[in-house]
Parts: sequence; structure tokens; C-alpha cells
Amino acid sequence: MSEHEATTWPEHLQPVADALRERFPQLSIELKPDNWLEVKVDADQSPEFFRYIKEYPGLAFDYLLDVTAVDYINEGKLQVVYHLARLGTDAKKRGKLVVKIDLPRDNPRVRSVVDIWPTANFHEREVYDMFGVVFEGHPDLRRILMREDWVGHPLRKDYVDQRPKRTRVTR
Amino acid sequence: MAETAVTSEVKQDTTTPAEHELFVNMGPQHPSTHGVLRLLLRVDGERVLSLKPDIGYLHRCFEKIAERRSVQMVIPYCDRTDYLAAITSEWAYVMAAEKLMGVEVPERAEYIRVIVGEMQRIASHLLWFGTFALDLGAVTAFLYAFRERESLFDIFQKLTGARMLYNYLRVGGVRNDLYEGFEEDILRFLDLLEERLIEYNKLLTGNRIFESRTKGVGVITKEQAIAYGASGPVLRGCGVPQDLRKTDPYSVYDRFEFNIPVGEHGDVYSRYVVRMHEFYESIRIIRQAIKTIPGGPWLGDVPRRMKLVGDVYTRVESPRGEVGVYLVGDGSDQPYRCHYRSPCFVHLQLLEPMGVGHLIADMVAIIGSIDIVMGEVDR
Amino acid sequence: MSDWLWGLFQSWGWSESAFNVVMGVIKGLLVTTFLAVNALVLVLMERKVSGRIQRRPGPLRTGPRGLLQTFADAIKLLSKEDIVPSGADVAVFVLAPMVFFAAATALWIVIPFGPQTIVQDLNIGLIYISAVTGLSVLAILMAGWSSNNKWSLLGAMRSAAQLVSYEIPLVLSIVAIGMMAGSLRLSDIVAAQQGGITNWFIFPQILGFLVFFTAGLAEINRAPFDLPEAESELVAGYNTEYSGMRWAIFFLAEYANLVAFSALAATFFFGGPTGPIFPPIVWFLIKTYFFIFVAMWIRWTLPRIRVDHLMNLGWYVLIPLALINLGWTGLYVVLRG
Repeated sequence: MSEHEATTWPEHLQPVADALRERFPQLSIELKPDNWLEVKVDADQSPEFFRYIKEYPGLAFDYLLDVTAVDYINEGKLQVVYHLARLGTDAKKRGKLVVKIDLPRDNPRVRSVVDIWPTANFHEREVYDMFGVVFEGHPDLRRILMREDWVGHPLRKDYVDQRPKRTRVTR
Repeated sequence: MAETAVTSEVKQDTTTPAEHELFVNMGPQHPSTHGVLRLLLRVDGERVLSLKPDIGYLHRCFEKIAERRSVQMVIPYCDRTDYLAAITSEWAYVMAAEKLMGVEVPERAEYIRVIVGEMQRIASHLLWFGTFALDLGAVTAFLYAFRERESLFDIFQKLTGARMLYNYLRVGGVRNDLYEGFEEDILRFLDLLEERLIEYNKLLTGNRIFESRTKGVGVITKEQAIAYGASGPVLRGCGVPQDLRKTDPYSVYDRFEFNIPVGEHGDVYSRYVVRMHEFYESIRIIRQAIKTIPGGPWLGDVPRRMKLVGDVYTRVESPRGEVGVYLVGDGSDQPYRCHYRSPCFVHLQLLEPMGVGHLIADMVAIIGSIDIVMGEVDR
Repeated sequence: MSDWLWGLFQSWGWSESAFNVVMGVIKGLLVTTFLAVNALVLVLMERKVSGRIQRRPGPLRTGPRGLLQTFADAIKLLSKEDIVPSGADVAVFVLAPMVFFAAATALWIVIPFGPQTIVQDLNIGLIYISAVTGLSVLAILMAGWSSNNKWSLLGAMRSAAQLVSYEIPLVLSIVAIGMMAGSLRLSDIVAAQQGGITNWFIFPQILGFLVFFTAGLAEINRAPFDLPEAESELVAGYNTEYSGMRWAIFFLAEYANLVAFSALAATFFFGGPTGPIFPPIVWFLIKTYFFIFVAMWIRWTLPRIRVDHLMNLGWYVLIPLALINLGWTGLYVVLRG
């Protein structure tokens, strides 16, 4: 399912793409199934980008759904994925946006978006917990699901379980 | 280990320790935290000055396990994330897998999914109603709600073989067709439920004590709710008509007529009212679906060798809010990455704006009103 | 019976003080037995009533129709390990249930089961009652403090606040009764209501009864005023750390309080043991159990009230009502002549 399949752009997404291109001309924007717009952003560009899509009136993505990450170990990158939406009863004004930021696997750092969308707090803590991505400017970057003294970041593909092996009890 | 965790958090919070203040650990073993939620409360008398949710006690590595299982084998694990609304968790996952594989779902299967999904919503709301009343000290309502829930589970059991964790949805459809006589069973249940809902309303809705416990408690504004990513009844209780079944219709929801109940004040009572109205909307949807369900296969053509390619994010309106699954495939039959977006995980962040300044007794009502399921929060 | 015993003792050559001690012991045993039997019945009754209200049969398996359920409970509680939490103030922790039980039992000294059937017919019965009802909060405070548990402490504090707020309307409503009867002695109060239903104090004192009933429910920590042990809020409040027999004593004393409260309601407003045909004790039990049932009914129907609302209810509603009632009673007594 690549961008070639989705040939027709829905009307209400065109202004979104235009507004994005206006500020960030070299941005690659794809249309994904279910009318998701996918945008790839560089890590150093991200603070400006996020503030823009939140505050620019034509965009106003006020609703952050999810922040997660994927470890593409073969390509040597960690990808942080943001899912955003606009709320509203008017179908025309709705829009969905996926933002992907590639980070190096060693020392992944990206600017936190908690000050833009407070909901990112727990999501970013989870990504930090599971992938070790450091969100700069996060107010309280601690582990959230794993124990505080846990070693390693479990959802990385090269993660090795360091707990002592348990002997298997068979009956 | 646990000790270090406690001290580090306490240190962070005791920036201004006062003599009359007290730290209270609400949970992880507390009757009203619905599982293993731990809230670190700083209280003055009974007034909450600050609170920090601490989660992870029920973390069962769902996302890691999903990476080591083939597509179909993940479905039972989805059940166990939100164990009170298993169908909707399955649904989000199954939809994601279908999108990655390009599988068409037969129409009958979509209708069946809608029916069981709404049944699930009723079952989950019934449990919420009972436990919410129990949190407020009305023990009897709890047993009333459980009685109806049991009879609904009987239907679930006849249909899927299980009462809570169904493993019923499949990539490409559902596991088995509706059984003979399902229609009568479910319609009879809906009639019964409508009668009983009147009883529930009599028991709680107009009660002076109940209203004084819930009105004006745990208020959040529309802007706060959106900024904190709230969804489901919590968001709708603030007056935002956001319901994925309407605003971003999936499956065949666009074919049914139903309303989105919206609250006004964003307090506990609004969320209560929204959920009570959702009972009726679910009943309406099931009745329409039963009436118009087409025949045909209930499982589509699914390739024998399943291949997941690309990435997709699917959203489903669960009883608690927006459940999302972000699924990435690398061409094998195992998900490369499966992320589960849990609504309650997000709602827990709202506890602080909702709860600070209220009493401990209100905290209980607030936790009950956002209807948390710790299995879903911790995954 | 007392006279007969006195004769017997005189024939043995015992002094009057010795006789008083023996009589005291016998009466104490009788009251304790009465309370224990009542608790046995009440545990089962509460389960059955709550079951009926919740549309389930209640206990059925132990004995015929579940009649032996209480015995099973008691045996279970007796055989449980006696746990004193580390960090608890042991002496106070151990003492608290006993104080609570003593306070609950002490109330029974002045309650008339029938004419002449009263442990000690104090001439300051009403004052005694209002004094003793305040004692149980001391035990709750002891339990909450000594448990070394924050939830228990919060429960104890709630209890103290509740008592301070509700003792006043309770006493005010009792004072009105004293004015009606022209005596503080409980047997006089019963005597004043003798001679048919029209003489019951409930009719001139309907307002006083409502105040008494509400404040009384709060005083004995019954739902919807069960804040000191609010299970869903404070885990179990002051008795969180208690288990086994110590907990059972709290439980027992709570039921004793419930019976005492119902008995007082019957005595003050419904003529106590007076009534036709049946012997006085039967009337006493019928009236008492009616109020016990009402208390259970309320408990299993209403949600729990919140702390600050409870205080508001006490200070802004009950106390003014009680004062109005007091004024009305004065007027009534003067007009009656």
C-alpha cells in the first residue's frame, strides 16, 4: 500500500498539504489509506514543525493521538511516530496526520512535545522506557511501565533479556 | 528496588513539605483503584494537594509478545489488554492486520462485528455502572448491573464459547456465524435491558446524595480534555461530539442511525449521563443491525501465507475511548511492531487536573468515572 | 426476682454490697448475652435483607436456609490468626476493641426492656446516654491511631469530626424528649407514653424523631454515614488493620450500637415496651427490630454521603431543625399545662 494506490486526494486534505508545503517546501507528504497524511520530518526541524501544525490556523492539529516508535534495526534507525488529528463535527475540517522522525539508534534524541500537547507526557515516557529515546525538555522523563531499575529498553530489536534464566519445571 | 522507587518519587514531591500534610499511597491494593493503579497522594486532611499516578504493575509485555507471534496468534493477547471490552481491542488489531494484508471482509462479518461490538459496549458499561455505584457506596446497584451482565454473557458464551475473553474476531471476518436463535436471544435481552435501565435510573440518577457526590466533581474543560488527548465518554462529557463511529466511521457504522450523547459540564455526572445514554444508542444500533444483516460468508478469503507489509494505524471506539493499533509489517507473518494505544493510559494523566483540590472520596468517584481498566493501561 | 435473691442472700448472711456486686455481674451477663444473641440474629438478618434487596437469596448453604451462617462466620473469625501489625502501638491497639465494646454495652444499662426490667434505672438516664454515646469515638480514635496506618487515621479523624457534628443535634432531640416526659429517667419516659398509640411522643415530636434518626445513624456510623469505615474510600477505615477476633469485637459492638440506637428510637418515640396483648419484652423487640430493618434498608439503598456534605447536613440542617423542635416542644409543654 504505497502512495501510488491513493491517486485522488480528498478535497479537504489539499489545503493541509498546501499549508505544510508553504512553510516547509522540501517536505515529503504522502497520502496513506484511510486519508492519513504522512509526513517525514528531521529531528532538528521537529520543534518548529510541531509548533507550526498546532498553531497555524489553517492546520490546527490540536489532538495528539499517540506517540510511539519503531526500531528499524536493519536500516540502523529508530523511528518515532506521532499520530495527530483535528477534532470537529464537520467532516471537511477533519484531518489525520502521521509524523515520522528518524533518529540514529545510538543516542536517539528529539525535542519533547509535552509543552505543545500535554498528553504526550505519558506517551513519551513510554517510548523512553521501551526504546530509550530521550525527549529533550520533557518535565519528568522516567520509566513508566518497567521497573525504575530496569536495564535496557525492551522493545528494541537487539534487546537481550538479562534476567537470570529460570529452570524449566516439567511435570 | 521498590523502595528506591518510592523514595525517589517522594523526594520529587516533597518540595514544600508542611507539618500538616500527609502522603498517602492509594493503591496498588485499594478497593477502588480498579486493579493495580497506584496514586501517590499528597493530602492536607482529606484534600488532595497533588497526585502522581504510578502504573506498570500489570505490564504483561503485550507489544513484545506480539512481535514473536504470527498474526492470528496475537488475537487472544489483544483480549487480555482490555479484558472488559475484548471485542473492541481485537477489532482494532484485526482491522490493522486486514489493512496490511489487503484482505476484504465480507459484509455479514462486518455486521456481526458491529453487533458483538455493541454488545461488548453494553457489557462493559454495565460493569462500569456497577463498580461506579459501588465506589460511591451504593452496593445494591452493583449487583443489579451484574445480573444483566451475566445474562448478556450467556449470549456471548453461546456465540463465542467464552464469557469474557472471546478470541472471536479473525483476520478477514469472525470465527463462526451467529447461532440459530441468536436473534431472539439478543432481542429479548435488549427488551429486558431497556426495562432495567429505567430501574437503574431510579436507583441512582435522581438520588440527591448521588448528585451531590458527582455534580461539579472532577471538572475538566473542553480545551483541557482535547489537550490531554481524552477520548470516549470523558471527552464527550465535556461537550465534544467526538465518536469514531460517527466522525471517522469504520466497518459499517455509517449505515446505522444513532446519536452521540454529549455532556455539558465535563464533571463526573456528565460522564455518567453520557454512558447511561450510550446504553440506548447501542441498543438502537444492535436492533438495526439485526434487522438488516445480510447473508453470505462470515470469513473472507484470507491467504494461507499471511504477509504483513507496510504500516497502518487503525482506530476503534471502545467503551472507554479511542483504541488504536499501530501495526508495522516487514513482509513476514509476524508483526514487526504492534503498538496498542490505550485510552485509559491517556486518561490517567487527566487525574491530576481533575482531582487536585478535591477530597479523597472524590478521587474515588473520578477514577470510577473515567472507567479505567488497568490491563489496558499497562498492557 | 431481685427481691427473692435478696431474701436468699440475707438468709446466707451476706451484706448488701456483696449482693449488689453479684446482681451487677448477673445483669451484666444478661445484657452481654442479649447483645451476643442479637448480633447472631443480626448478622444473618443483614445478609438476608441485603440479599432480598439485591434480588438474591443470601446465604443458603450453612444449615437449613442458611441459618447457621453466623456460627460459621464466628468459628472462622475465632480460628483466624491474631495479627498485630508491626509498628502498631500494641497496648492501645489491643485495648481499642474492648473500649469500643464496653462503650456499646454501657448504653444498655439504662434501656428499659419492660416495666421493672432495666439494669439500672438512673435518674439521669438521658444525660448518661448522651455521655456514653460519645465514648465509642474514643475507641475509634484509639484504633485509628494505634494501627499506624494512614487510612485508619483518616477514618478515625472522620469519625471524630462526625461525632462532634452529630452529637449536638442528637442531644438536642433527646432534650426535647426529656421536656415532654418531665423526667430524665427512661422508665418515666416510657410511663409517659403509656395508654395507647396517641400518647406516643412520635406525634408531637415528628421533627425531633427525624433529627434523632438521622443523627443517630451518623452517630453509630451506619450507611449512608459510614464514612469512618468507608470501604471504597478508606479501604476499611479505622479497622483496616484488625483481623480475626479483634475485628469481630468491633463488628459485634457495631451491631450492639445499632440495636441500642433502634431501642432508643423505640423508647423515646414509640412507647418502648408498652403495647397491648403481648408481654412488654415482645413489644420492645418488635419495635426495635423494625428500626433495625429500616436502618438496613437505608444502608443497602443509598450511596455514601461525602465528608463535607455530612458536616453541612449536621450544622446547617440538623442543628437548626433540632433547635426549632426544641422551641416547639417548650411551647407544646407549656400549652399542655
